[in-house]
Amino acid sequence: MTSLQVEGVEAGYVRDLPILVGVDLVAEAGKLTTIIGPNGAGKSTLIKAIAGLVPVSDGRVRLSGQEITGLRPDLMGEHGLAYVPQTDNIFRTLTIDENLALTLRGSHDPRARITELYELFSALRDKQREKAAALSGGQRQMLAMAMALTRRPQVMLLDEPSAGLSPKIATEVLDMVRGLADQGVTVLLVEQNVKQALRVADHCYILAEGRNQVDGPAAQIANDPVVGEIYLGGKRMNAA
Amino acid sequence: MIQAILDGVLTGAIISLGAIGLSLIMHMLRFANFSYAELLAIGAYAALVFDGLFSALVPVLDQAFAPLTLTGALALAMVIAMVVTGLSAVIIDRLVFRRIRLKADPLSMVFASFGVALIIRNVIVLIFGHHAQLYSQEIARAHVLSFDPLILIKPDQVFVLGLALVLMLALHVILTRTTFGFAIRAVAENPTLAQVAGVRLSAIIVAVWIIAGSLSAAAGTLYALTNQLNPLIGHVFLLPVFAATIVGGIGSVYGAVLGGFIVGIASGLALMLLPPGYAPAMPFLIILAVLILRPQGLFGEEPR
Repeated sequence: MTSLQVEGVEAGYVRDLPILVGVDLVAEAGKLTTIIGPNGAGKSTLIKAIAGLVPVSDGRVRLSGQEITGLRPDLMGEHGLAYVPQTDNIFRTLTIDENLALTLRGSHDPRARITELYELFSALRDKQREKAAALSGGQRQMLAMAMALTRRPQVMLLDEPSAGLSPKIATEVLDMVRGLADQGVTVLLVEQNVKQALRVADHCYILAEGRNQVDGPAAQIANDPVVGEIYLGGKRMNAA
Repeated sequence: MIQAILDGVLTGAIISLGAIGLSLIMHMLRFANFSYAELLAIGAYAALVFDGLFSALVPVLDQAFAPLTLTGALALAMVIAMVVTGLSAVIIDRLVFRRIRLKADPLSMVFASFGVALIIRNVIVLIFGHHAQLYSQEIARAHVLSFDPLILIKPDQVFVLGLALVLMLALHVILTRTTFGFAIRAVAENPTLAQVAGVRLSAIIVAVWIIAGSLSAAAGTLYALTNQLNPLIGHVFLLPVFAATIVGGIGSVYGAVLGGFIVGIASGLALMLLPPGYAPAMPFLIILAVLILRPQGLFGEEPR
């Protein structure tokens, strides 16, 4: 199993204007680690920097000790890392089948893997020849996750997979994410839905203004009224 | 009327071939490339050079495939021209557009494309001169297939239409049946997500330039096979190719194909309805109509 280490990462979209400043994080192997924090905290930027989509100007990103800082995004999959963006995470003009086949380019026996994934995400099986644009919000998230899982990643980065979903579907999706960790995948989850994120996570990092604030076991963070009041809007966290 | 439609279909097939590549490039690289149509000229003149070379070196290739005026040498030259033009497109991108892409905004690329067009056109004039040329003198004596004396259909025209459709079908098969084709469509829709899905962006950009260059070379050669070849061929096709791309919807291959035929037929009919001097304005009118009525084109996606 693979762990993910982020050490003193400084990153941003514009040179000399970092959004993240000296961020440290460890996602332990086979555990679900969540990053929460207020809007604009840099959560999505951090996950994109790990995935190679935002330039890292300082610090290191390692997978079980092997450095992947600044690696091209298309090579991350070969290192066992998969990323599911928050929005626009499927190719709407491609069919379900084509979406999955694309991510399996060059692999041995892609059809067998696609069949396995249809077993896992049965809602997609009946729509395999349909354009992905025809899928509902929950089905799109399933397809996005299926695409990330095609190459059996050891580490998965998920950016707000429950965004825009009904509470029931959001719960299902996050339970599915929990299931991935239970199967041994190292999961790093960025979530706005704090209560749900802390429900499924093992460990939690709170980010604010691009810096680490607090981290600890998810259950402990969930029950810490001071942390909730200062960083997560207090009552809002409990009401979420 | 029938003749105008037939001529429009033929011209439309050539415009479609040109528009497919432009549509992909415009969508993928997010800039209007005004030098794109010059690839038709590069292809047509490359075919002229290799046709002469093969005819001189292997005289047996100089025999025409009756009833066509197409010779073995020209057929082979067209294939080589497609490769040469594809590579030329990649080189132009590496020398000019890629450098600007990395440092400046898309508007700079648009201005650069005007410069590239002028350079290509004038280099062609320097090498080949201003005068019109023909692949074969036989074109004037080509016999007519139709029985109606008022309708002129030459075997070469049927061949041009057939080959254009075969090339479009081949591209359709690549785009819809191969993971390479899925990757091209994925990059056109969402380049960032395509990278996340393991697609190497730079490799697909090179592949699309090669495809675009090759199809443009085919379009240029097929046009010159049934018409005259002169250094303004790119300039002549610039507006129709842009109109077809906009009509079809930027990024849509099938839209570009349909757009090409619409522009071709509309331009053909315009010759009947308008004084000849106004006919070239037809692509402008089509662009205007589409931008007012359906800005995203027939197959383009509505902005979200």
